[in-house]
Amino acid sequence: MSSRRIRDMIREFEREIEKTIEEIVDSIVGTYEARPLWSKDGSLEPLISVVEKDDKYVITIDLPLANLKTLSITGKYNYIELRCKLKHRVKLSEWPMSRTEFTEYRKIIELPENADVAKFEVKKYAEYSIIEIIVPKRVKP
Amino acid sequence: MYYMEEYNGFTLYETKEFKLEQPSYMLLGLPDTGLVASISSSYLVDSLKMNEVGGIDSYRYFPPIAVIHNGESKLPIRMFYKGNILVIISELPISPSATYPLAFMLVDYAQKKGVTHIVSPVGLGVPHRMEVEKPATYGLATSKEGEQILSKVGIKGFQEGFIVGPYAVVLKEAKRRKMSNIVIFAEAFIDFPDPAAAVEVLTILTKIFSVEIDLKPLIEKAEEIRLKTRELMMNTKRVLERMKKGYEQQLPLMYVF
Repeated sequence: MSSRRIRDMIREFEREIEKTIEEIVDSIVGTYEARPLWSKDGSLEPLISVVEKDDKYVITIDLPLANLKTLSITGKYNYIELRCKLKHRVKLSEWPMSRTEFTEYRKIIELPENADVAKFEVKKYAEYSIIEIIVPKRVKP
Repeated sequence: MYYMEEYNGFTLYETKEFKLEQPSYMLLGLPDTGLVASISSSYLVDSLKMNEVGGIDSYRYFPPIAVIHNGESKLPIRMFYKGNILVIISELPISPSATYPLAFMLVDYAQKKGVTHIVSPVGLGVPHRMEVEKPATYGLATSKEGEQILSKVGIKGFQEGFIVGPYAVVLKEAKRRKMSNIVIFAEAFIDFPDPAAAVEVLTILTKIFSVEIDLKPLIEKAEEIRLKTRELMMNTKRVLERMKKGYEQQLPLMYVF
């Protein structure tokens, strides 16, 4: 058997092992999140991204169709709570489960204990309806 | 049913007979960074009023889902055709375990259908996308003909970097089989849907396919599209994180020298 053929067989074997591991992980953690990002009380949950830096947490929040003038953010304990009205009422589709009309975004973001949520700053990118909330970390005494 | 093929856990169905005119293109609309491929390919299908000619399902890799559209049950991956263009759109992000078999199947199918170029629109996640007014685009091709097309449409070459996910496997497999794969990259939000990046991709695709579509409605409805695609983006992000999509933010070793 040539060394190339052996290499191909090893590669094929490795790929099979990787695939099996991925299938096991898929079955344990689940690939798809079935949680809807809306509630029948007329609120929508925005997409967020939290990045930890050396001295702060940067939370980026996507708020399409939001009226950023109505943005309200509060920080308490290690939570940031966000609310923002939509520019107009939105219906997601005609299908029976979503007869609800949506009027605002609402989200509570939990941060680690060292987040100093009382000192957050907000940057608005109005052109994209995206905001950044910068939360500093508490300085150790 | 006109044609059915089993491939390593996936089943491909052709529900209508069709023959691609030459030169032909197979556009892949698989959920990826910024949903650039999903938004651009869906918009193209809608604008060109393309015909649905089949789809792909999997009892092994997909949850037990039937997509209902216009009162009809549809497959999770759907195929659309018109003239010399075949578009493949997935309603679900492709899980890591499904990536290899699906990518191999797509390249195999393209070869069987006599596709001249497989076209992959890829979102290139940039951390400060909010500060970018017009997302930059880059191109990459595995064939001389593909390179000529990219140079004709005036797109910069993608020189160094990583690609992660189904498009990476399609690229490598197409190259191995000496098939033409044209990859169009557009800077995009990493974690959010990015219709503006899809507009940039469509501007290039329409030149490659020599078709005309009105992009104004897509620009006008961008915020609404972002709002309505949040769940797909959330699932896609989850899958991409497991595929180590963060590699795309890194430099390959070759770039060091």
